[in-house]
Order: sequence, then structure tokens, then C-alpha cells
Amino acid sequence: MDEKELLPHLFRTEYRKLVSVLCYLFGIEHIEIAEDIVSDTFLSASESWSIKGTPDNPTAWLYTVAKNKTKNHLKRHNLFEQKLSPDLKYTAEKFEELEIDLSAKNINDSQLAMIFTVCNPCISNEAQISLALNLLCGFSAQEIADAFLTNKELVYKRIQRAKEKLKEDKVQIEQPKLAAINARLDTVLTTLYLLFSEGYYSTSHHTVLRRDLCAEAMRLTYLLVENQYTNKPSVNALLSLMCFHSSRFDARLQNGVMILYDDQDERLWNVELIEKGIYYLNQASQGRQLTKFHLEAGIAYWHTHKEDTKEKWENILQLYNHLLILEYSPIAALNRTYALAKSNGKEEAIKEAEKLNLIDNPFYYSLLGNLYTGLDNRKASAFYRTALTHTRSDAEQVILKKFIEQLLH
Amino acid sequence: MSSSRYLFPVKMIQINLASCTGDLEKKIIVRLKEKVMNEFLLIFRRSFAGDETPSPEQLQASIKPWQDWLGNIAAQDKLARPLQRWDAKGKVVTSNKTVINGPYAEIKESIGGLIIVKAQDYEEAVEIAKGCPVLQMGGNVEVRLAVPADYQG
Repeated sequence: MDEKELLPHLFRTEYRKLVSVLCYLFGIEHIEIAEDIVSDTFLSASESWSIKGTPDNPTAWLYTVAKNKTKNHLKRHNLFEQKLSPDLKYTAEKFEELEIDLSAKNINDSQLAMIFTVCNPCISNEAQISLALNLLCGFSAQEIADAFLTNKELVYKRIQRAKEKLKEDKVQIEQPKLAAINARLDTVLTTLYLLFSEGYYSTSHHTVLRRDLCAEAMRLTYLLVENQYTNKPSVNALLSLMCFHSSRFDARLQNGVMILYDDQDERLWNVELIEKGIYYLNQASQGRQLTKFHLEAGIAYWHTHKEDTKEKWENILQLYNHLLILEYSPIAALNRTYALAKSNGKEEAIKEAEKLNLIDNPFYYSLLGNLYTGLDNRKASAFYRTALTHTRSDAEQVILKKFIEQLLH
Repeated sequence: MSSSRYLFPVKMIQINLASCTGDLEKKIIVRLKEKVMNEFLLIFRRSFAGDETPSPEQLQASIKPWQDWLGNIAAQDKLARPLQRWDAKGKVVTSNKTVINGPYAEIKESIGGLIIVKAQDYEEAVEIAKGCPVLQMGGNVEVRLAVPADYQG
């Protein structure tokens, strides 16, 4: 990795660790101090390394500098005596003895504590995701704005408000207690799930950013699997789901163009990730809990079989049936109807599709277009054209026009 | 997940209407006319007399129509409550306080299950009931409007 790439890469991997450890040490009230110290550390690195060259162990350099800056800051502002000491979880007598623990274990503990802090129900879902991306993944407001297709100011305000709220409510950054794990794990998983979805399905053209989003979501989920208290079946199911989906990352995007499932070259599917997905799905099957992540992981598993078989589509249909009975969503309803066509035939699926009544959803019309293809091509074409008027996404328009074109021949 | 994967990359209340005042009935009729979503109880009954224990294959084949039917309802977002499975055996207390253990050869029909769905009116609820697999087994579906609490006054 050359010098130009090294620092952004380290920023991505180390910023969040240092911020988590310092927040964990200082408490949520001093979150900005932690961010300032870490930003300052990276600024020093870029200045120093461009003059003196990159140190042998850049990560260790960052850790040492961050530690020194923390101690200096505390000394300068006398914060240790006046403000921090009551909150400090470490019982150092003076700040010289203050231990800033950057061991792998403490980094993991700190990050885990931060995940549960960020996913506090006192702040909104959007804010949780933005804050998670910002604090735990080191994404800038601009990058988050790009991923969410919104503007930087809005994201910035959202993050600030969320931080204020956490401070107001005096939320403690601490290792989640067993009761809190059970109570908040669902929220944590939803945040991680949305984080992954943003990366996987985002209409943002920023491919690298999207890939990073997915990787970050998986890394944080893996952290939960690694911890004995949070290693629950639902967490394994979520990680399994993420593995299966990301196994198709290369196959579904070529030169910035989306490749539909049917047209994907399965040789581009990542076998290692599929195997990992199967492993975590097996882990998830222990216990009696059946969450939507289990069902979605099951559906994703069957999609790793490229060939259309009766068994495959029957399984997918039943998993979608379960999923919808557990929790309705329009997208699940549409996908389920597609599976119904594959399993029980198009006529039956058309009858059910017409009852879905999702008249504002462009996918609804493209589903009908797909179902009528081969049965009544004029109707199919009309539905695709209706879908075209309902979508604003360029990528979707290109695909719809291709479908309409194909119907003419 | 927030995109279509294939096409794009990218309350159990039972009130006997006969015992209600005329006023309540009027309110119910108004409510049905207003096209608000109502809840309807669907009870499936069939005769279990003479049933033989099904083979695992038969059992599997008999489950699919139920799963698909429930999936159809759920896909329209018309399930009003989470599904509840009920024990197939059960007990019946008769008028002379004799207790019968199920399955019941003595009584003609028993409840195969029940669900609560969302529908605008009886017509729509009945349409849903017409898809119920119990009909294929010679059973029937009883459809009942759930009378909301605020209509009892």
C-alpha cells in the first residue's frame, strides 16, 4: 500500500478504535474531546510522515501519539482533577498514571460498549445509523450523506442532535449488562442490518463506499459473535445473511452496472463467504428462537443455488410465507409473489399479485410486467411502462427499458 | 432488505349481534359503510371423525396449502394478529359436565383453527375465507366481525 492510501486506510480502521477507547474512558459527556484528540493525532501523522517518512509501525505510532495527546490534554485543561475523575472507570491516582489501554481486548470491549450506547432507544433510528457510521466506522458527514443520498448539513445536524441527546440523558458507556443485551440486542441488530442494507442496496454510485459500508456492518456484527454474552442465535443469523449477500457483491455489479440475479455469472460468487454463511446459519440454528434474520438468511442461502429447482423455490416460498406472517413489508410481499410464480405457477401468482395493491410502488408494476411476460406481452409491456413512470432511479429505468425492448422481439 | 431482489438490483372479540341493541347494529353498519379496516374472526371447523393418522408425506402435503393461504393473507398485510397455534386434542365439557378428551368422535365438528384478519367489510372477509384449505376437506369457515370496544356505548 503506498503512502497516499495508507493514511486514509488507517483512518478507516484506527479512528473508530481510538475514539471508542477514549469515549469509554471519558464517558459520553466528553465525546467531542475524544474526537478532537483522535483527529489531531491523524493531523500530526500526516504532517510528520510527509516530512520524516512513514514509521515502521504506523499503527503503534498512532496509538502512542494518541496516548500522549490525551495525557497532555488532560494536564493542560486540568480536566482530570475537575471533571473527569469522578467518571473515570480507571482508578489512577494522577493522570501520569492514567492507563490508556489500547490492547485488542479493550478496543473490542470499548467498541461493543459503544454499539450499545449508540443504539440507545432515546435517539431515532436514522440518528443511530448516522452516529454508528460516524463514531464506530469513522465515516465523515459527507460520506454518510453520499450513502443516504442526502445532504451533509442534514447528516451533521442529525449527528450533533443525537450526541446532545445522549449527553442530556446521561447515557453511560459501559459493557452491556445481561438484561440490557436482551432488551437492546434487537435495536442493535436492526441498526447493523440497516447499515448493511444501505451499503448493499444503496442507489449511490459510490461503489467503494458501499463496499466499505457492508464490510463495516459485518465487522461490527462479528464483534457481537465474538463476545460470549452477545453471541446469540439471532446475531449469527444476521452475520450469515450478510455473508450470503456479500458473496454476490462482485457478480451483481460490473463496471458500475447492476447485474440482475438471473444474469449473474455464478463463478463470480465468493465461495468462501458462502461457506461462512452456512457456518453461521448452523450456529444460528442452536436454540429455539426463530427471528426474521433466520428466515432472511434461509432465503439468502437458497439463492446461493443458481439452478432453478422445485425444491429451491418451494423452500424460498415457505420462508417468505413465514417472514410475512412474522412481519409484513411491501418488498417481502413482492418477492414472495415472485417465488409463488416460480413455485405454484404464474396464473396463481398474478391472481395474488393483483391483490397486493401496492399502487405507489414501482416494483409492483415491474413484478406484474414480469409475471405477464410470455402470457400477455402487451399487458407486460404496459406494466413495465407504468413502472417506468414511477421510478426516479437511472439504473432502474435502464433495466425497465431493456425489458420493454425485449418484449418487442 | 430494501430492494426487490429479482426484478431490480437494486383480537379475539366475540359479541353476539342478536343480544346487541339496535343502536349498536346501526353503528356497525355505518362503520362497514365507512370502509375503515375492520377485524374479522375466521374460524375453521371440520369433522375429524374417521380420520386416520396421516403419513409424514401426507402431513407435509397438507401443510403447504395452509402455509400458502396464510402467506397470501400476510402478503396483503391483512393478518390482524400474530398467528397462534392450538393443540389439536383439547377437551370438551358437555351440558352434564362430562369431560370429553379430543379428538372428538362424539361431537360432529371441531375447531381446526382460527385467525383474525383485517378487511373492509364482510364481502372482503368472505373472499379471504373462500381460499381457506379447510373447504377442500369438507369443512367450513365462520366469519365474524369484531365489534370494537368504542362501539359498545
